[in-house]
Amino acid sequence: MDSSVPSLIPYQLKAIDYEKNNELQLALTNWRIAEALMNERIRALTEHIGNNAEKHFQRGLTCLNDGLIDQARLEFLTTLRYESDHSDALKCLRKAVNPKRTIEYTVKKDDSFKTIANQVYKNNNQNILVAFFSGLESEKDLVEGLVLSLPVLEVEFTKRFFNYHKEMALARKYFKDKDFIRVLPIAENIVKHMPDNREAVFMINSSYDGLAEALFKKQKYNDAIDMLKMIDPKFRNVKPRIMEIQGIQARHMATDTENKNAAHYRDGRDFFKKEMYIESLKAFEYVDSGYADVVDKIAELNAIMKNESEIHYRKGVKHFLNEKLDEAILEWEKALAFDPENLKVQKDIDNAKQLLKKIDEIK
Amino acid sequence: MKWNSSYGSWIVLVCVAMFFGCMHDSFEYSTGNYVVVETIKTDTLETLAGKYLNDTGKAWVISEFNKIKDIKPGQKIIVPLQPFNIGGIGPEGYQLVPVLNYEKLKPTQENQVPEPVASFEQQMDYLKKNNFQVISFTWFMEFLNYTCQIPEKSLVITLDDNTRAVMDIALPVLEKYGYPATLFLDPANVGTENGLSVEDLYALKEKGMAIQCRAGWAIDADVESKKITLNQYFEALKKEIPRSKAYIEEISGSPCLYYALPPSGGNNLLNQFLWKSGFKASLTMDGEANPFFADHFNIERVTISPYDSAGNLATKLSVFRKMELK
Repeated sequence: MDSSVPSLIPYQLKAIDYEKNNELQLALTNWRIAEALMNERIRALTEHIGNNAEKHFQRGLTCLNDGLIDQARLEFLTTLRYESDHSDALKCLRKAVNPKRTIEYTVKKDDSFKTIANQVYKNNNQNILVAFFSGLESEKDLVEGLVLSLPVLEVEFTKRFFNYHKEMALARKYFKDKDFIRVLPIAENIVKHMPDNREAVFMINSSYDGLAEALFKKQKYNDAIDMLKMIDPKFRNVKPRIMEIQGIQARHMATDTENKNAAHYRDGRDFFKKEMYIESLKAFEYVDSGYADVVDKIAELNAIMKNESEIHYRKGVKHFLNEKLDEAILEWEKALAFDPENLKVQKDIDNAKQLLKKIDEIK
Repeated sequence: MKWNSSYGSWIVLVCVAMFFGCMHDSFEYSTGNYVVVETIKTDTLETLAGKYLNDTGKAWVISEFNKIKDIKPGQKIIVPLQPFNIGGIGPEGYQLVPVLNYEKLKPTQENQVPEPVASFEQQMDYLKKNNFQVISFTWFMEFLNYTCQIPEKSLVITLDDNTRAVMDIALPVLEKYGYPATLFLDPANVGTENGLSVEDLYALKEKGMAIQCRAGWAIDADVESKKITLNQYFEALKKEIPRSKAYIEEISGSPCLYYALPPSGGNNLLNQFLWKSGFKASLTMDGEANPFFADHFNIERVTISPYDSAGNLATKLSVFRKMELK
């Protein structure tokens, strides 16, 4: 404030004094001096206040431009403290502290709600927002040069929603890579939100088809058929393909059986040649009874094994009579291996083992 | 109104008052914006407010301008005829207004706490004894619009509780203390078990309680669980909000202008939709006290529990933000 303005109080006091002493002209002169000084003081104070307000306002603008929001707020508040009706300071204060709420969009030639939505929100589907906030009754009213005020959508807010574009981009990527397992949940989620989305429907059906073919190649026929059954009949009639797979599956099963019998029969025959009768019998037993002469082979083997069992049994008896219990048990165990159901041999083994035990005890 | 011109007028008035005060027992001198009076025995702040401001309820204007709590005969008092500090700004900082939100007036098992607590009535009594001025939401909005001055220790009471507790607990106490309050109502709660009935709402209206709109929380839950798209959310807003607004306007017989946001808070789409639908403000569930430059479409509220003790309540009643404004 301008301190060069002298105090008016001495002139007021003098004026009062002159009035008391009836020196009215002098009193009036002093009152006029006091009045002039008061007017000067008011002018100086007004100027000081105005200067301070402007100084803080300009500082506020600089801070606002520099993004120093807290400092800008302080400067605008100080401006308003000096000059409460500084409307620009009030406007700037609100602008500094409150978020931007709208985007101004100037309509271009041939714009539609969808093209504007794409420009502003990078999403055609948000044309309903453009339609509503434009306040226009019809798309035809989108005149070139018209300025629309559209709401800003906060990133954090939009993240809270199902995002069609993000989901579809992901689905397309996986679909292109033929990663159908990953396509399905995404495309199905899209259809859940947008039942008429043809692309997602196509992806779902094509993915089931792709998965079915992959399973078919791995000869997982039943799983392949299950996948095909997931395909919408309106999308593709899968019945012929299912029937085709079922036929292939039947033939494959037949071929499988043929191959299996041949392999086991071959094994049985090889073991037989090497006189490995037990192994040979096991191999022949895997072969279907109708295959070649397998029944005869098994009968022949049974006869041979009975005979072998008898030979080993007799050797065992011979050892037993010579009191060679260990050798006897060894032979009888061989006899039992050729004829596992021979209870007599099993009993003789048990007896020999008990006798051996008693002899050991006596010793 | 310019602060500097009013300040200039004030200097003139003080000088004039000093001069005339030496010569007369009592006097009255007025300019366009101020009246200077010398009080007499029968004067009170209320009588002066009634005489010069046509409203005894504006005694606080004289009290705050002259920085006095009462008056004595022979005092020189300046009565400002226009607001002298609209935003509550001073060299030490600026005014804040807490908007209290009573979400649950009646204790429930979930919000029960073991220590002894003050009841709703004790809380109102605390406000009275500590000279808090409960103002209407409309008046508070004028403060936010920077068109009106409010008392220094102003606060607003809002009720998000939509149960019978409003009738049983809040209404009698608010009537007793003469405190205005605003009920934020979700029309879906009307007529439900323990919910307010239509008759209750008419009774509240008769008793002067303002009724405004509160968000239905179902939409919010769908958003939280990502069950819906943004467009589906927007369609739900288009369906729900105008319907709620119309219902409340029919019940209250006055415009529904304010909207209590859902627990997850507001978003710009919702706020812009509210603005486009004729709403003037939206309020959060929880937050801090508001300065005059607060965002109209995110006015913060301070959640108060019926179990808040006086001490706890006091910590939530911030009415001034210190900040050197020189």
